[in-house]
Amino acid sequence: MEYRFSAHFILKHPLVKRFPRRKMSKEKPQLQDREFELLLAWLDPGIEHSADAYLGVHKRLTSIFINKGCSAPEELADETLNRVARQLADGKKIGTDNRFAYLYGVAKNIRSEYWRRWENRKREDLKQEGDPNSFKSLVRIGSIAASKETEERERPLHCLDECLSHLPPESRLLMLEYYSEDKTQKIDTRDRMANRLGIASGVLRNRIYKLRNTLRPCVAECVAR
Amino acid sequence: MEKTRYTKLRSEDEENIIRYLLGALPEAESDRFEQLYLRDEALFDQLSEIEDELIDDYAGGALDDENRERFEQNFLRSPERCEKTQLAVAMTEHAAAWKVQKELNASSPSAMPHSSRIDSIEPNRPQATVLTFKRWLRPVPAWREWAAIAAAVLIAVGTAALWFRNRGLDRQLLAANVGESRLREQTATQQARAAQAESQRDAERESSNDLKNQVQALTEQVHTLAGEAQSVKKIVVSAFIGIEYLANVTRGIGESKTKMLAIPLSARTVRLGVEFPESRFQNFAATLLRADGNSMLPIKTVGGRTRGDKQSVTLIIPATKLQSGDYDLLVDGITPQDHREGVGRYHLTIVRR
Repeated sequence: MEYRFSAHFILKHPLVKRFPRRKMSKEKPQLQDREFELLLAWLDPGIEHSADAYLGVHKRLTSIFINKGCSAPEELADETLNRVARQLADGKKIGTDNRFAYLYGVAKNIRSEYWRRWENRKREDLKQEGDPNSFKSLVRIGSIAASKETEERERPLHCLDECLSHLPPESRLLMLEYYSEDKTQKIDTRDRMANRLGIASGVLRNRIYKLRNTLRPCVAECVAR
Repeated sequence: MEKTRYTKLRSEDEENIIRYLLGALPEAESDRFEQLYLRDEALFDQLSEIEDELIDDYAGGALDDENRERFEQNFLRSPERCEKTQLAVAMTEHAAAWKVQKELNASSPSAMPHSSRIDSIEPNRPQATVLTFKRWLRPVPAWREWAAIAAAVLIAVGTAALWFRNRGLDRQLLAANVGESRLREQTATQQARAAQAESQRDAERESSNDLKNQVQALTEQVHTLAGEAQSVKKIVVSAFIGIEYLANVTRGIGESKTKMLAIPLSARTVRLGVEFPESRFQNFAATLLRADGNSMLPIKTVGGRTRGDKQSVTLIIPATKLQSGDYDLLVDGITPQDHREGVGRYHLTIVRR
C-alpha cells in the first residue's frame, strides 16, 4: 500500500504539531501552514518522509544546541527551522543540495543571537543583584555534586527501583551488571559482557541505550508523581 | 587533546565524538562535525549512544581527571544532561548495592533470609529434594488428612489476619512518610524563602546605601557644575555692536553713538559681533585703537556673515588686553591682493569692573 503524507495530515500529526505550534518568543509569530509546507518540501523533496525528516532534523539541531550549552535547545531548534521556513515563504531560493549546510549556518546565527541575548540578560541580572532564575542551570549542576544526602536524590533511587522491576528479568540483570562496576573496571566489564553474550560492544551499547531510554521516562514520571 | 587512558581503547570516530561532547574539539572541527551529524542520522544515533555511555562512565568514576573536568565544565551545562547524569548516578548506586548483595548471597545463602526485588533477579536456585518417589506413594491415615486440613485453615486465617494488619501498618507508614516528606519540603521551601528574603533585604540595603551615596555625589556634582557654569559665564563676555553705532570710516569726521562695554575683571575673552553695511569683501581684519592713539591691538576675526544689506563679523578679543577707557574699533575688508579697505568704524567705551 502506498502511503503518502499530505501536508495537511502532517500538520495535524500529534508529533509534528508539537514543534511549530509550541509557544515561541513573544516577538516571533508562529509558522503559517503554507510556510510549514514549504519547509517540509524543502527538507525532503520526496514528501513521503517529510514528517520524519522534520523531526529528525529538529532532534539533531536540538542536540547541537544542547552541546553548546544553550538552555532552551528545543526552542532554538524551532526558531532555526521557522526562520528557514519564512525565508522560503518570502521567495528566497535555497538549493536543496546543500540544505544541511545552510540550515547549520542559520542555526549558528540563532546561537550567536541567543548568546548575545544571554549576555545582556546576565548583565541585567547582575545589575539587579541576581534574578533567582538566571543561573538556574548552573545551580542545578552544582546540586548534582552536592545533593548526595538530600531527599531529592533518594526519590529517583526509589523510582528507579520501581521502574527496574517493570523490566523483564534478563534486561534488568543486564542493566545491573552493566552498571555494577565502577572506575576502569566499568570498561572491562562491558567487554566481558559483550564477549559472554557473543555480541559486539557496539551492539551491547545499543541494547543498553534502548533499555535506558525505556527507564528514563518511567523514572521521570515516577519522580514527578 | 592527547589520547588519554580513557579514550585510547576507542576507535577514532568514537574518540572524536567524545572530544566533541566534552568540548575538546577545535571550533572548526566541531563545526564540521556538527554539519556532518546534522546530515547523517546514523552518526547522530552513535553520538547519542556514546553520550549516554559517557554519562555512565562519569557516574561510575571511570573518567580520568582531564575528561572529568571537561565533563563537568562543558558537558554538564545543559539541564537535560544533568537529569541524565542524576539517573546514571542513581543507577550506578543501585547496581553497586545489587552487586554487594549478590556477593553476600553467594558466600552465605542463609544470611539473606528475606526476599527482595534485587534477590528476585537471581536465577532460580535448584530446590533440595526432600521426599523420595516412594514416600509420595505411601497411603496417609484419615486423621492426618483432617489434621493437615485444620492446620492449613488455621495457617490461612492467621496469614490473612497478619496480611491485613501488615497492610494497615504499611498504609500508616506510607502516610507518615508522605507527611514527613511534605513537612521536609515545606521546611526546605520556607528556609529557601527566608534565605531569599534575607538576601533581598541585604541587596536592598546595599542598593539603598548606594543610592544615598549616588545622591550625595550627584549633589556635589551639581554644586560643582553650578560653580563652573557661573565661572564660565564670567569667563566669556559676549556683546554686539549694531550698524547704528557705525561712525565714518575716516577718523574724526561726523557724529556717532558710543558703545559702552562693561567687562568683568574675571573675564578672559570678549566675543564681539560687529555689524556694517554689505561690502564686496569676504575676509576681514579688525584693529582696536586707544582713543588717545597710544596703542593699537590687532584683533582676530571669525567668519563674515551677510544678512540682507548688512554684513557682520565676530571678533575674539583677549579680555586681559582691554583696559578701561575709550577706543576706536576699525574693521577693514581684505582684498585678494591682501590690501585693506575700511568698512566700519565704531567708538567704544570699555569699563573693567
